[in-house]
Amino acid sequence: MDYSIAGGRQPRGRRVASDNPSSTLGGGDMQENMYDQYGQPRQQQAPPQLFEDTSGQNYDYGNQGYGGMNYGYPPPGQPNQGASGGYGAYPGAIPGPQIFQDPLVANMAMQYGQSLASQGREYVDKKLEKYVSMSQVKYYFAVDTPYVMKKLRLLFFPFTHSDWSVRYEQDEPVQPRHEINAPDLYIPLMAVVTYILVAGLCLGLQERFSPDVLGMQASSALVWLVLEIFVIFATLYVTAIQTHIKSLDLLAFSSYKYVGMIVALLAGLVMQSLGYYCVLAYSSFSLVVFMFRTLRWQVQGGAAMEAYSAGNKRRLYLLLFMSGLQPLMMWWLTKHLVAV
Amino acid sequence: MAFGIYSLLEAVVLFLNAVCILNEERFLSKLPGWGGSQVHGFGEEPGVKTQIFHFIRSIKTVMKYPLIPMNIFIILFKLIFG
Repeated sequence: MDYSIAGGRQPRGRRVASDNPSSTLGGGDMQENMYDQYGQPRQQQAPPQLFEDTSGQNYDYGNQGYGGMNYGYPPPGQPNQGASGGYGAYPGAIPGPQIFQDPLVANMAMQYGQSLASQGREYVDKKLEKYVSMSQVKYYFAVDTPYVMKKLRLLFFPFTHSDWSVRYEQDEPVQPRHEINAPDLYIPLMAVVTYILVAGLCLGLQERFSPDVLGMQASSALVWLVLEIFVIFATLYVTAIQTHIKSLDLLAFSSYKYVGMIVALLAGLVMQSLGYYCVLAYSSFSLVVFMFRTLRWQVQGGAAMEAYSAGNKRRLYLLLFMSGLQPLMMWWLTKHLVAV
Repeated sequence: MAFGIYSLLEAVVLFLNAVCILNEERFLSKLPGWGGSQVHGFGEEPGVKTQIFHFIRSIKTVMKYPLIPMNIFIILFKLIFG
């Protein structure tokens, strides 16, 4: 996101540079090249001086000049053209002082462009930060392949896993890629998209498919997800339970069920409704175990609070409610997709 | 099955209407525990009833005026598109 803004803004700064008259030198594209890497001013100061020396001894400096050029500019293709054009046009154009001035102007333009870019970036960041903090969202997508494999295994076989706590490092939870128990949003996102596609496939095999069905599936899946999260929030509020759970955590936990739904639907495709019900039963059972164990750590905050917390029973009910909701939702969202 | 985003919006508006229409003098004040802001000690978790009353009061305060245009919009939408 940052890069796109910078890319969008930068040309404005550069255009100012090319507006000033000395850029008719013919070395226009070369100058741009130069200002692109203007971050190191010492090295970049060298080329203009090289020009000034050249004007005196045009003849024997040519070869050396090319060498110097290639040394100064990393990409070898463009500078060659630029340099030859520059030498050719140089005597006719405005002499020394203008060239000396040019980097200054360009420098200012560059700074102007940069300040514009950073202003724009700040503005967008601030606007976005108001609704969702990007760094928080990035945390949920810090996954890698081994993590995804392990997490999927955990979703379908959570019985032998014993340690459900999330490690903390300087008050920050460890990223999912290093911590199997941390919630992520990568699996849920992919699972929701896959669920919609699989639903389309199921409907297509039953000759019930039309393009708008996909949109309907997506909309209704979204609405049920929102409703579920809203109900959980309302419960949390009404029972006045203090937890570590952030709203994005809740989103992650309540959309892990799509993984089980996809598998159940695929089983339903292969083995009709019998396979669907068997797989649905198993996957919802394992999901309940997974949710209950994960959330118990999250809601009750480990064993530390258990000793003296008054609302312990409430917490237990909340846990049972949240994990008991999952099979219901799984069944409700898939039952119309399976051939009877 | 057609429970889309628009239906959710409608449902939310209807729910908010239902909360806002509860009459303060005739109904709510007769409920036990309404209005009496019980003082609870430090660290004591407020009860379920307190939280619900708090919730109702908040909705009544905040959503009173925004609900009017929302209702008008939905009614017009229904009239035009059925």
